[in-house]
Amino acid sequence: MEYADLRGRTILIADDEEYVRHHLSRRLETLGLRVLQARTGEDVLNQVNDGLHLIVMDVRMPVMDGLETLRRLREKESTAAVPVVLLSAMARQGEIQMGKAADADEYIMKPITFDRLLESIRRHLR
Amino acid sequence: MGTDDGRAFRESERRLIQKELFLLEDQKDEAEQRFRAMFENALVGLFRGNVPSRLLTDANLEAARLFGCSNVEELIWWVNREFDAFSFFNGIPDPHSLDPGEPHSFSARSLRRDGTEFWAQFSVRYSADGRWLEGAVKDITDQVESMDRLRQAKGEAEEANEAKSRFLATMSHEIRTPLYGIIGFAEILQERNDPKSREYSRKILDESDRLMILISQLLDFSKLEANKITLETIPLDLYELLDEIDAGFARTVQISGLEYRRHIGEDVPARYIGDPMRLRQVITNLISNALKFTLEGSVVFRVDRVGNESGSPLLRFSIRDTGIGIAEDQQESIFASFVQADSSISRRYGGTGLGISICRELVNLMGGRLELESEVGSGSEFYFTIPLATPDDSSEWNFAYRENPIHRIGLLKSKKVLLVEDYDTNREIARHHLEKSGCLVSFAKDGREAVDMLGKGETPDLIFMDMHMPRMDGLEATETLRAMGVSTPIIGMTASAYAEDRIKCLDSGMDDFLTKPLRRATLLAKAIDWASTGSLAHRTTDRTRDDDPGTLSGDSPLRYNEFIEELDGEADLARELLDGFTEDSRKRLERAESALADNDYELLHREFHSIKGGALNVMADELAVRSFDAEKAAGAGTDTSLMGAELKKVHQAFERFVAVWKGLRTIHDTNERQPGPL
Repeated sequence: MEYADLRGRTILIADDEEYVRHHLSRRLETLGLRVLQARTGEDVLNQVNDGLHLIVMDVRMPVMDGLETLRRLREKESTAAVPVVLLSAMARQGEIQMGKAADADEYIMKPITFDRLLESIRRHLR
Repeated sequence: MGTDDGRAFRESERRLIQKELFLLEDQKDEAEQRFRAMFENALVGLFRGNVPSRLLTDANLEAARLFGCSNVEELIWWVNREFDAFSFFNGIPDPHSLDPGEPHSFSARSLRRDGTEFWAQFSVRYSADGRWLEGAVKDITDQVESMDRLRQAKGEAEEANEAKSRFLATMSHEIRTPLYGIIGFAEILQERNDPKSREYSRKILDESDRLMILISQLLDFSKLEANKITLETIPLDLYELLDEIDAGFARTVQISGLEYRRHIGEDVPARYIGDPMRLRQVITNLISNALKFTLEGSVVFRVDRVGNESGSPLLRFSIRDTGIGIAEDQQESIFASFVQADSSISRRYGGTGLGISICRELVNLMGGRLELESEVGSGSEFYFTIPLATPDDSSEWNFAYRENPIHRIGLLKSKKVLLVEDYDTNREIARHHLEKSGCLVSFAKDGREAVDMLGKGETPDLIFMDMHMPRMDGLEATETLRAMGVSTPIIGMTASAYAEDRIKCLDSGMDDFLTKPLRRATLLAKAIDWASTGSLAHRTTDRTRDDDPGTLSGDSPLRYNEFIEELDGEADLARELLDGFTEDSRKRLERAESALADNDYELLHREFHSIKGGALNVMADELAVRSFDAEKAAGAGTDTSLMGAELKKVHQAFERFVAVWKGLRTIHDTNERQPGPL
């Protein structure tokens, strides 16, 4: 395992569950990543800037859900290229179709192990 | 929302599972960190190696430190580049030789990074799949070195103790030698008519006896300490032993004015197989103490049978006195070496304080325990219970009657006795007693001189041979003489009565031995015994010496008991010798018959001579006397009819001998449970 490629990168974790946010943040930080957190879609949009390398975002969030937030990110030229990994606990076929249809770089079904998520993060950070 | 219930449920369930999963991951992390910390901070060196690649893959800081590296990475780098994990930790067993999970410990000289070495102790095992080696390592240089020092110190201490024991043994021998001289001359003075001389020499003997006991105790003590005492297993007549002990104390008891009583339970057997000398020593010591520490009242000695232990009677020996007693807090310490209950006691009563501790050790060896019950002012009781084996073969014990040979002292008249002894004093003493009994005594000052004398044709009737002499000792001299064909009885003289010395004496070809100091009664008894019977070592061969059967009464077909006694109770040897003699004599008598028919008096003479010699050896008195008569008649050329009568008498004596021996042999065989025809 080489950790060097993650060092100094910035990643945003968006999930309305505080425990999930904390868990992921702590683990990613020990790998040398800078981690930002967002509880809602609005929080995400407020924190997006040029330095952000990746967004991991839950589909289900209050006020503005993940799909809507993703749509807005893609609309804006400055944030359209940021890789987004969507997480979803929703399991119905229609919802899965909807998530996949959204313009996410990857769509992952919860529950997911940290190692599986880390693998995706590595892939999308390139 | 109603239609979304299923979805909501499943979604919330997934969210819950996600949280639980992350929680588990956290817990796993924490656990790993905890164990990692334990591994890294462990106070023993820990390491892990990969079996297929032979690489060291992991280690902790302590392991790095032990091997002289400043951190784990340095250790792993060094080991994998310079060696491989398996040759580096030398002594690691091959993976195939050890079951997975089975731990293996070993110590090895190990190398540090700076080239110095240390003693490492490893504990290793292979993982269940055999692909990994896990191990712990400790620096045990200090332990190994202190162990070496301890071992060395122990060796030195043992050597010193050994030297002490040797010194004690040598010293006690050196002290005893002149003491024996004193005792011998004091006994000679006892023969004086002057009452003062007799009284003073009696006191010299008494004091010498006390000194002898002290020296023996010192020697016993050093022998016990070195585990060098082994008990004998020889015939032991308890009643005889106790009588002798009583006789030994008779004078002391008389002088002390104490009452001394002895009780032996009616069911106590008389005969055993054991160590009479050591049993006597223990009892004597206890009675002696009882008499010493009792100013008025009585000393009671009891022997009772209290049961059985694996077929042997259990006997309880008890010595109870009405003496000063021993305080409870001092009772244990009197069993310790050199300790008397109160140090003022040693000033008042004397003694080494070794006696009781020696007694306790000896009783332990006999399979019992010496115990004490005592109360200050009212007396003490020392007692012990030991199993004493009884003889299996009653024939071993057929010699209840022991003749005192002194009344046959006339037998020594004109006997030629050779004394081989380097110590002038002992020569003087022995010469005095032997010459007074009519012996013609000659001397050799060591074994070589004795061998030279016999080589030049001297023909003594009896040889007394000291064990320890310069140039050639008694054992070597005896072996040499026997090899030369000398069949004269040889009696060894030893300073100790230990079994090993007796065995050495007999092995060398001696017939008997006597223990110093040389006392008149024993010296003469041995001389009489052997002057009359001839050497046992050559019993089965024809003897050229002319024994004089005239001293025998000539009416006993076979003195079986005495013969066994002469053979130290060896019934089997007796049977062999008697059977051999029977066979041999029968043939000789047949030859004598035909010699008579042929008028061959020379052959007749030779056969009678041979039968006489053999008969003397096996104590067939009647046959010996008849053969001697016939031998004389043949030598005188007596006419044929008278010679026939002589031969008939020899025949009859022989048949009586055979009848007696046949009868005894049946008893002997029945005892052995293997009957066989004569």
